[in-house]
Amino acid sequence: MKQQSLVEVRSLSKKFCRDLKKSLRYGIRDIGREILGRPQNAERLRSDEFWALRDVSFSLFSGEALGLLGRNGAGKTTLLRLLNGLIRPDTGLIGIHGRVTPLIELGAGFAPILTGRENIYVNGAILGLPGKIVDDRIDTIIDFAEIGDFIDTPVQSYSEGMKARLGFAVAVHLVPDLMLVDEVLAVGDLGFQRKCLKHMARYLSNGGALILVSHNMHLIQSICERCLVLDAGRIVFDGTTPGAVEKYSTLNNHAASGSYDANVTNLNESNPVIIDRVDIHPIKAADIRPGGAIQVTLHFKSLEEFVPVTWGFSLWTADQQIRIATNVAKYDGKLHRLCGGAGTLSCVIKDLPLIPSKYFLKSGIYEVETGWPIARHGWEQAAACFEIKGEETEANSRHRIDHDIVNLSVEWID
Amino acid sequence: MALPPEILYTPVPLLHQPLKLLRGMISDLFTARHLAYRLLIRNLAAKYRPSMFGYLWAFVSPMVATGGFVFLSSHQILRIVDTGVPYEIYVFVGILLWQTFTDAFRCPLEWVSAFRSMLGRVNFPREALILGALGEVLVHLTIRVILMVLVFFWFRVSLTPTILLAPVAIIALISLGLMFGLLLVPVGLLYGDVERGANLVTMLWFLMTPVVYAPPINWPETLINRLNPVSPLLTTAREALFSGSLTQLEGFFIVTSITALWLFIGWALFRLALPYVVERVAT
Repeated sequence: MKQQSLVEVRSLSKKFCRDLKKSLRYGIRDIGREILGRPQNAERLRSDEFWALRDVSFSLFSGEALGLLGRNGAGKTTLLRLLNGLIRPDTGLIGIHGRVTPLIELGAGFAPILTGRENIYVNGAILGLPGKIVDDRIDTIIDFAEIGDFIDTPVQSYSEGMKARLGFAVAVHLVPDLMLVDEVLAVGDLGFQRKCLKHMARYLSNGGALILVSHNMHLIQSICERCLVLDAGRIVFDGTTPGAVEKYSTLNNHAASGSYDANVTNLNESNPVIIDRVDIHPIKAADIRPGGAIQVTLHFKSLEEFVPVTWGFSLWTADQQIRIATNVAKYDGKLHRLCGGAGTLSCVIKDLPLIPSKYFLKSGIYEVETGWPIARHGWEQAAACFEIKGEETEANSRHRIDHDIVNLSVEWID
Repeated sequence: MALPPEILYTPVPLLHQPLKLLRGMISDLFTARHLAYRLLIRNLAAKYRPSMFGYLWAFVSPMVATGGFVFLSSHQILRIVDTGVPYEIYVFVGILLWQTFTDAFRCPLEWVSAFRSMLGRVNFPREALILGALGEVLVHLTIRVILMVLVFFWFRVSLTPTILLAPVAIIALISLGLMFGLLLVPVGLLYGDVERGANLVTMLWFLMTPVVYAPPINWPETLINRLNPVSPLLTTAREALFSGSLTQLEGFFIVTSITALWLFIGWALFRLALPYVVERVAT
């Protein structure tokens, strides 16, 4: 028998309006239709409207943590608001078997003038915690927040981090079936973040489900096994977190290249050299394997002759957050010459010490004296990508879980 | 077998399932009480704590207003026909009742507006905002009643049995204000014009209501009694408090029954409209 899903989302769409005045007018009209019991004209976009979410479908099961990735304005917060019933879908449906707690903002309803202690009661009531429970647990909440004597100080003199601590301390006493978390951990210090992570892990292992929005790739990777990537309101990826992170970084790269490429494709005085393409191939093998070798080839076009130049590359993790290595030819005593017209530069990287995963390579051609870039590849446009393949061994899966990058060659001695 | 989900959000108008809507309204009203109480305390503290005189301010405004009108009438600047009781008390009670009405009229929009950002972040029972607003009206009313008792004692106003009817009339007055206030909330959240317009209307309305003067007895001025729904309620409340003869009972009953119906409709509309407002104004 198939396990009953906790959340079912089917072809969910939501439209918003860019223009304020029109938005307000549409609002009045929509309210009018609603109170007359007439269905909305859902499929049609009125002038200045756009789909903030379009045809989103997914399901979520108990114990699952789902990450939501996407650039700003991709529809992540809109999806959370719909899931929480704050706004109504334009098409599709949402079914939830259980109670939902939103942590879209920690410390909802805090009144600046009230003390931390008084605000615990307000916040608890807003989140639906009975007063009796708050009474019983007030000391635990204050201890958890770790804000010491400030508990009887008006909240207006708290820092953002302190408010978040207090808000979270209240929220941990809720036991929802689905928790919606929107970038709330960003303000806390490391100790606080660790505490939140621990709480979420415990909540998940007790069968709770979680939807997490964050731009912090490490946080997403350490909590969620599965992620949705949203782009302009549509799901463009639904699968494992490493895959999602990769998809998300290519989205960011494409976005960055969109504005720049047009200027760069033509050679001119200000762009005398252009790197068209970077090829990466395994040497003497079908695949790239750990410990294997690859050849990197830059295809460039040059307006005139440049002598001498040097070139180099840097190697990045799949999420493009960590720079693993940088090599420049001149430091190995090798200088190059660019002839006018098309040409190539290549090198071989031997004994790759990397564990199986995807990697990105960004490269550039530089002036020797100043180190100033003459042309670059992988920054303003998508970086060259290659994948190191490996067997599904226990060691490799361990590496993947631990987010390792490098496999050291070790000789174990008694 | 798959159970139907406990929570289901679809674009189907909620009016298509009126029973479900009604059940939701009633159960939310019930669960909202605790939150309303907390929010009321929060708002009162936020209002009065950062001030030196605190709740004294609630006493000051009717006294100053009364002083003003007593001055105007005692110097014959404002000519007032006989009101049957000392004019000071007449005006004072009138202003207290009027302020109770405007409180009830103003509070719903004020409350929902103040919690607008929270509406876009947490799904709490929205009825808490109505109940909280009502709570604030009642707290201010309590302060006014204390003041009124002191004044009655000071002026040795003789009480009549009709005073037992006064609470009913005051509840009707509050309901009327709350009804107008609730009906304004959805549009008022979208357009700032509503709040400004409401302030203007309130001022005009004050002049068109027998608060500082006795209900007119000649046509066409008597239209004030017939067309202004506040008029029969306020007059009946005041007459119940000290004159003993109730002159506008018919109007009172008509207005009260219409109010009861529309108060409920206003509540349902508030509930239906709020998600549409939230998606456009919540940050």
